[in-house]
Amino acid sequence: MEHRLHLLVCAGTGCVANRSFQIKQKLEQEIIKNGLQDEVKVISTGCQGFCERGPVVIVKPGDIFYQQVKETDIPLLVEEHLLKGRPVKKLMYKPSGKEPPVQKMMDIGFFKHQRLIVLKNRGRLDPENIDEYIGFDGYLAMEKALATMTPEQIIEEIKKSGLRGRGGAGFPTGLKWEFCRKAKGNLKYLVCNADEGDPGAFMDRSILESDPHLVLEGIIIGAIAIGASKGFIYVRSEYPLAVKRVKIAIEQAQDYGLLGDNILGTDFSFSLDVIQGAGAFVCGEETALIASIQGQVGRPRPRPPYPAESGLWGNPTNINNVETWANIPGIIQKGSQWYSSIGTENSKGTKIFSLVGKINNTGLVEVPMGITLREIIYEIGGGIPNKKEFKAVQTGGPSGGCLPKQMLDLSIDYDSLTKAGSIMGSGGMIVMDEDTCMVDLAKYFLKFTVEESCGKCTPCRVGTRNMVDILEKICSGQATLDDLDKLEFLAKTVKSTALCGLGQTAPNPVLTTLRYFRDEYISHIVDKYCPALVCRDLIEFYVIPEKCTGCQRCVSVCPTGAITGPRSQPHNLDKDKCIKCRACYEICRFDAIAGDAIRIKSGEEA
Amino acid sequence: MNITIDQQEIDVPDNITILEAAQLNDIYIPNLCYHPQLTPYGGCRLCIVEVEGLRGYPTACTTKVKERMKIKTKSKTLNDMRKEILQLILSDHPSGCLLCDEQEECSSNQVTIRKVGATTGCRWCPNDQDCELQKIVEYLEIKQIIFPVYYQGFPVETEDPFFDRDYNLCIYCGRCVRICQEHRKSEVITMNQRGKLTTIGPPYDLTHIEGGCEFCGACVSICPTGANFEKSRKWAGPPDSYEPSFCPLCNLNCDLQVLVKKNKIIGTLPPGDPHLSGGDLCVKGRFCINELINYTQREMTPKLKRNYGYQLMSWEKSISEVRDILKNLDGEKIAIYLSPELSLEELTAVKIFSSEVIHCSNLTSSIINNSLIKLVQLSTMNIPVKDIEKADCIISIFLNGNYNYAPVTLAVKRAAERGVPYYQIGWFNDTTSRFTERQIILKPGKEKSWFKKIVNHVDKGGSASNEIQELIRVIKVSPSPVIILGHQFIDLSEGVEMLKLIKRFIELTGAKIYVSLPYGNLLGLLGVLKIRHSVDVEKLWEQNEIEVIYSFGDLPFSKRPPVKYIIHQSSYPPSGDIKPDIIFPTPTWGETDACYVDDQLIIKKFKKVVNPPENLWSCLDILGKLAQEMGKDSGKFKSTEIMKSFPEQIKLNLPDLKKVKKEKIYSPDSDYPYLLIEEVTKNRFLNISINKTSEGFDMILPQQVLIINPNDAEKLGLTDYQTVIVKSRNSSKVYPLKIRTIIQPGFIYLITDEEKPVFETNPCPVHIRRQNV
Repeated sequence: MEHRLHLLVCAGTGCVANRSFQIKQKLEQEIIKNGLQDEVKVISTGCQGFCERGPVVIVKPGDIFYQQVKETDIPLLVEEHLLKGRPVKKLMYKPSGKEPPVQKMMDIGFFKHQRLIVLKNRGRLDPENIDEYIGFDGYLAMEKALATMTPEQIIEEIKKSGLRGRGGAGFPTGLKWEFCRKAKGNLKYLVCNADEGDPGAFMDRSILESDPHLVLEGIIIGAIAIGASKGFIYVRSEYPLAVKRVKIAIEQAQDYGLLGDNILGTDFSFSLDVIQGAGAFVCGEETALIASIQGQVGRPRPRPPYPAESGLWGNPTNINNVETWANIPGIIQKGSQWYSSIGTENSKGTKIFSLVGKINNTGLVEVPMGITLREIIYEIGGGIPNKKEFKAVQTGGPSGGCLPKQMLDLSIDYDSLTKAGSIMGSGGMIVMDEDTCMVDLAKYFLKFTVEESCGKCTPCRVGTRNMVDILEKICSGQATLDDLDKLEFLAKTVKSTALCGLGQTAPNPVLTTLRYFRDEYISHIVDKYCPALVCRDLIEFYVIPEKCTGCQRCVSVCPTGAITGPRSQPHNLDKDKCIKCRACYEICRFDAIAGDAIRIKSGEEA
Repeated sequence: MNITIDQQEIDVPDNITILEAAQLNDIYIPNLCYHPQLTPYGGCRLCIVEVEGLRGYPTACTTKVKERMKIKTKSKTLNDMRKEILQLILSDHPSGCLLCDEQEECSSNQVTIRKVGATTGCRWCPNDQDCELQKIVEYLEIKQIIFPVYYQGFPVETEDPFFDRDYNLCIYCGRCVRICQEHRKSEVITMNQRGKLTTIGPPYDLTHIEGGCEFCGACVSICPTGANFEKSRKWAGPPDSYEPSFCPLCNLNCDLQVLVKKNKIIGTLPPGDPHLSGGDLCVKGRFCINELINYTQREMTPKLKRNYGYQLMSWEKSISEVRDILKNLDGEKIAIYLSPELSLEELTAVKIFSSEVIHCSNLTSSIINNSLIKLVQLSTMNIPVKDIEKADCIISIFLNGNYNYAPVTLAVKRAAERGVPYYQIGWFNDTTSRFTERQIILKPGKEKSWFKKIVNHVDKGGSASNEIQELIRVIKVSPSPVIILGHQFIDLSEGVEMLKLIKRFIELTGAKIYVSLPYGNLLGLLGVLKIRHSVDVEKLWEQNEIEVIYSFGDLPFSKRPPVKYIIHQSSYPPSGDIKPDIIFPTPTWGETDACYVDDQLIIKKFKKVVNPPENLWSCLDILGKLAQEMGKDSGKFKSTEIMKSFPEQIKLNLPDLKKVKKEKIYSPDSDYPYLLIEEVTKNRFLNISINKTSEGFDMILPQQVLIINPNDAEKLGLTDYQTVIVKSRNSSKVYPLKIRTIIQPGFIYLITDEEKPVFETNPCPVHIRRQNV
């Protein structure tokens, strides 16, 4: 029976965490209460991408976009919109204070500038239902590949499309497939690498959660092209929803004869399994991933031999990232010409980024290659909150680099990012404002790598630790300029000599910050001054007596009792007791005159 | 293949790495984690090179050469980066011995490492002066470390026998882990944790014994630093020389090299580069020989028993004392007991002495019994050990490879890993069990009937259990099946019958066989002398027909036989209550030239590696002097003369089997639910058990201790080292208990140092309970 209205409730991880399941339940209750159950249907969908504003509900037709919906808003929404046909302004997206609310999804800046290929089904289908995927032309590309194309033609098509690996290094996918197809061996494996471990990245997770069949279809096409008979999806077990949905998808595909023996009545057979990783960052490296699937400790081994020659149990293995696989069906269905018309000369198609950090519109965005950083950050991301100044953007997570303001007009593609000292990576994009100390940031990422280093090779195991030591020294004001040279040479040595990608890219945050923010390092070392007022050993907290009204809010939050003073009189801050936790600074509201009454000083000032 | 290394054009074989190509041409590239036997690891990153056309700095140990490759192994950049990397390694590794200003003076003045270490606190690495790091530091000319030193503060691990581990010295090259895994196929140790927290050891904090370590010492040999070190020579420093030799502790007579320092044997290693080879010996050859030779209670002076105790004597006096006893005695009143570890020289000397000087034919050895004779007969069909690996189906019967027969178990493991089906029949869990297709555990008390059934099935096609059918199927489809026979069952009461059945089985299936024989020179003993069955000689002294027992390292009696006089000639003291009337100390292994007969009946020779302690006469000297005193020609006892009388080809001279009284063998029942298997230890040298000379060996394979499977122990509520009473139908004994997985559930394993099994039958159904409960 046809429904008058469809309500799409986002069931991506972000919205689920904000009670979107409960919202769906409540919606259904209210609809029944109002007797609308035959007219209105509620569907839970995959991630919409605009996680900042979750939970998200879209009403179709009309694409009315509701955001930050609470359970208490439901009765109003049902009554006003569903019964009376009056969209609820209160729940719509407002770009900034004065502008009017935006009604339609595609009018929102966040969505307007995106170009959806991989995420084309986002928010419009139920990821746990294969029929919906098929309804949106799902598995047509696979059928086409199986029925009308030879493996060589498929590979040729992928090669012509210019698709490059979305996992980070950007190796041409078609070429990789060709190597594996031509490798000697009867048994060949495919692996879908969903071991997404960068802090702040959730592209692969989101794709698997919102459109698992797209990935499956891509893998099956790959299997046809390469001649593989067995595949694995390696997902970290921190992604329970992705694991669950992929498993459901595999089961459904099996039931429909899209996986298993004699697929669609041909003599092509292919089976797929899910392997759950234990959450080691290094297992995203392909040889470590292979070791992990084989049941060994996830430690990389030297290449060559590449997995295409000798991968899982010594057999030729092709490993691609989730996003790469998800690009395949579109290319096969619409042709390489269509695909290669998007993007730049050497980087084709689109790329998904998870836009996080000091940015208004946190979320998942898919943009064509060649777009500038400025467009992503300002037009899609809506700029920096709280009127702060943009300082840098980190692409590629702990393996990537920090790009400064002057790079804002950099075109986003593999080559320009590499040239700028960063990497595309799997697509994490962390935006930082003026409150971020670049030395501290480099230290943060490096500490992550130290934790995640497998410990096999010396440069990564010991080198990164020593780099952290030097950074600590700089942050605490104990370093000399010699240390800076030492740090730079060590970073270069680690980059040139580490065994695997993890170690080779670990120094990138340090090297790029040294390249673009050297002043900040020098200021830490020479002036003992942290410009962002972050490094604890270089800052001190003061109460500005002229501004303090003695409201005692800071007294109540200070964990060490460092702030004292009677009500209505300027407070005292005992520096010996102060642990620089920033709690007082955050809570002080007397910016009415000219800034906070609590001030942080650093360097000479202090 | 033509390549260029450092502008030097060279021809190298295909399919080798840059590092191997460089080594073949004497071009040095520093490396620490490379090992020729192991898969390239690429961990230390010191062997980075520059290759034209390749991005970055590939490691020489992992990159294969290609036609016309242009390689640069030396450049400023490479050198700077290598220095940086080595400094990183050193920042994790105490480096007082590497970089101290006083280093040179210190090493010339130091008396022992120990002493300096105790005084200054810096020289405490057992690997000092024998350390790969030291060599590379010298090569890269590192004078200081620019990074802060990071001392991990791990406690030194000393609880396991034979070697200590100080992981503060570890540089994580992973050689120990890899040799254990790849070469030895034991997989005992691994890298635990990750990153800077990485530690090396058995997983889950197990001890090495619990982790199934065989103590082959491979990890110790190939450690480039002092992180793994032998307890026994920890502070001895590098040896003066490495002397080739072979192991006397079982019939395989594995080749080994002896480490000699200041005329003392300080250790043994497998042949090859001492820092690279390892894993081919068992614990006995690797660690126990050294402790055996340096056993503190060795006999050093001739002694005479007086009523107040032993009196030390000069050689001349004690020999004339013996002469007086032997001179007027009928030779047939003497019984000569010989150890199967005596060298061919000693055995030949005894032969001459017994036939020409004292005219005695009562030569025997306490180890000679029906099963052993039968086993030796079977062993004449032995294939060489290295051929085991070529089999396409392997069946081991009663093989207990724990701490034993490393070359055999290694061959089995290698073959099984290649996919050769391997079946293990018996009661033991050993290092090969993990590789089995199926482990066939014989029903307690039904061992003989199982063999009967399988022979019957092959012979007449009678009905048989599934496992027998499967086994026969596998053997039948294999062109060259190999059966490996362990010797651990020869003490069973029905050993001879089972051996007969096994022989029949082999004949019927056409399988090849390898019998593992105990005792270093058993075949020499049986090949040179006409040995009598021990039962015959025993009968003689039981009937008071013997007045003197002359023992050459073979004195196994649990109480003193009824004879007037016992002469004990050995390097080791007699056990317990048998107080011999005279003791002649002799040099032990390594202190005289010695020839042994190996499992292929080939005479192996080795020169002595150290001089015997002062005041020790060799067996040849003693017998020569005795002959002279008794008015015979002593010239025949000169070693040159003795060597001349060695047979060209060893022909075994086996005594006939003797009828023995048959005991009824019971199966376990509800009253006596466990089956006790006894084994008289074969881990011995002359008259001493290795358990006595090596504390470590007693830890891993305890003697006079009941070994029980953890499952049974749990069922009975027993824990390690409890004292338990073992009761059979006719006897009852008390033993301490040790829980180990080396024995299957339902069985109890007892290794004794007695002459014969202690309980009425072997195996024997028993029940056990805690004492005082």
